[in-house]
Amino acid sequence: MPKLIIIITNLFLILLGIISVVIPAKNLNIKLVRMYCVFNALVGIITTILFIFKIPNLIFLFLIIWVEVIILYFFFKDILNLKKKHDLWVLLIVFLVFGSVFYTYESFKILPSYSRFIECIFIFLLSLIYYHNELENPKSGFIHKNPVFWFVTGFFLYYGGTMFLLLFAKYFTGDKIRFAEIWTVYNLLNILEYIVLIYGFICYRRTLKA
Amino acid sequence: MLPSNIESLVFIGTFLLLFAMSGIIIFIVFHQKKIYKIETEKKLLEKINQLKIAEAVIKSQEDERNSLADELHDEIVPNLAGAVFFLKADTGTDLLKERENKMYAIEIIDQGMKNIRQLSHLLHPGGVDIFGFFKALNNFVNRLNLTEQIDIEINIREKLIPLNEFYQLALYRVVQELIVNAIKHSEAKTFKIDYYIENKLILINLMHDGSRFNTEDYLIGLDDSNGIGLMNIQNRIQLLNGKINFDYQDEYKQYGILISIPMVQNNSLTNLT
Repeated sequence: MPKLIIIITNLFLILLGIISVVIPAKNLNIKLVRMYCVFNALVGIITTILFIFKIPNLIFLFLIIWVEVIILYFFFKDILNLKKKHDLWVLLIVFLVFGSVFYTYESFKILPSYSRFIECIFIFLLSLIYYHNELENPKSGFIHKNPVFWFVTGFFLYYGGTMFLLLFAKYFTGDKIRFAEIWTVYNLLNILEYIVLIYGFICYRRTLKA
Repeated sequence: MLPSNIESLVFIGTFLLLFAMSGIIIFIVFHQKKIYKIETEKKLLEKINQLKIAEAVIKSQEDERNSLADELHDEIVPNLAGAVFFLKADTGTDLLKERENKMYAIEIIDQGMKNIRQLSHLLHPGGVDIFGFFKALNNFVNRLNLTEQIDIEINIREKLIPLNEFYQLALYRVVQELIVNAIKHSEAKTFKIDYYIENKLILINLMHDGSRFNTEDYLIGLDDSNGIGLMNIQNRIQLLNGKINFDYQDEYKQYGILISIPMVQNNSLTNLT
């Protein structure tokens, strides 16, 4: 069962990567989401290959955290019409400081739980700011037709959902059964994120056609 | 030391968080829709109010112009004609000089009459109320062409103007103001006016050989307190629910002004006229 979930997750990831490349991105935020998807798909493929050949792949998890945070930082910076843009800088600096501290604390041989937890909080907060802005100043009555809303929702569900899973996952690495259970839930949330992001791209294609 | 049931706690925590996040998303979708509806209604009301004000301003301007035109035509012109008649009838001792004076006076008064008549024509709706938009526009253009300084060509592709008299007058005033502005400020000498209907839009394309004036200049002009003419154009375009674009048209290598007005004037103000 866990292996099947991993295969499905990777299939969805590849599908998302292809869709994000096929649909022409005209806005900066769409280009950034595309970059995020393509980067995730590439890392997903590489880590799966390494996993099959039983080569340690945790270093990619460390790498992905930093790249994701930087891409999503610029994505939220583009979509949030904040009066004080430096508020976002403060968040990024907080992440960079804590992330760096945890990097030195965590080695590449265990799951980067703390860095990942900080990343999740970072994205979770930015998503909440976006939702708050949409409530304060709605640009359209059909937010569910806005691709950006679906992209943010995908990130919100995934990073919010996996926040505690990854924080505690490293304590179960010794217990294969319990770790597999955690990892299955984690992959299910991954699939949920990919489906929501794919739907976001479909919405974007519709707006392009319109 | 972690509790033994940590795995269950992590799962419960994750599912509770997911449940709460789903609730947030559903709340946002529905609540945002509600807020947007209220905001849209508020903006619509504001727009209707603005249109009402614009219509009232334009209507009062038209009434004022009509009464001024009537005044000029019915009062001043007959008076001047009477003066001419009186001067003609006057006799004196120095017949030669008096004749010269008379001729001079006659000439001035005649010129004055002409000027006043021209002014009257300019102020009057140009016959839009009697003959309709096309005839009025033709009359206006013919008057300008008579000066031999200006050459305006009109190409009416569709002999139909689906607007009531009031809106036709507003459109006529827009075209009139644009031509006068292009002559005054862009030193345009040659014009070509195209009238046609496409995709349920009334379109008027006004091309001229004058100097640069694009949409950006227009918007700057609107902000300028001296841009009363442009403001009047904008008010009338808003009243007509239309759009106006000033751009260089590569096809004709000239500056062009495109006015587009929806065929159906569906704002609630139509019945006021």
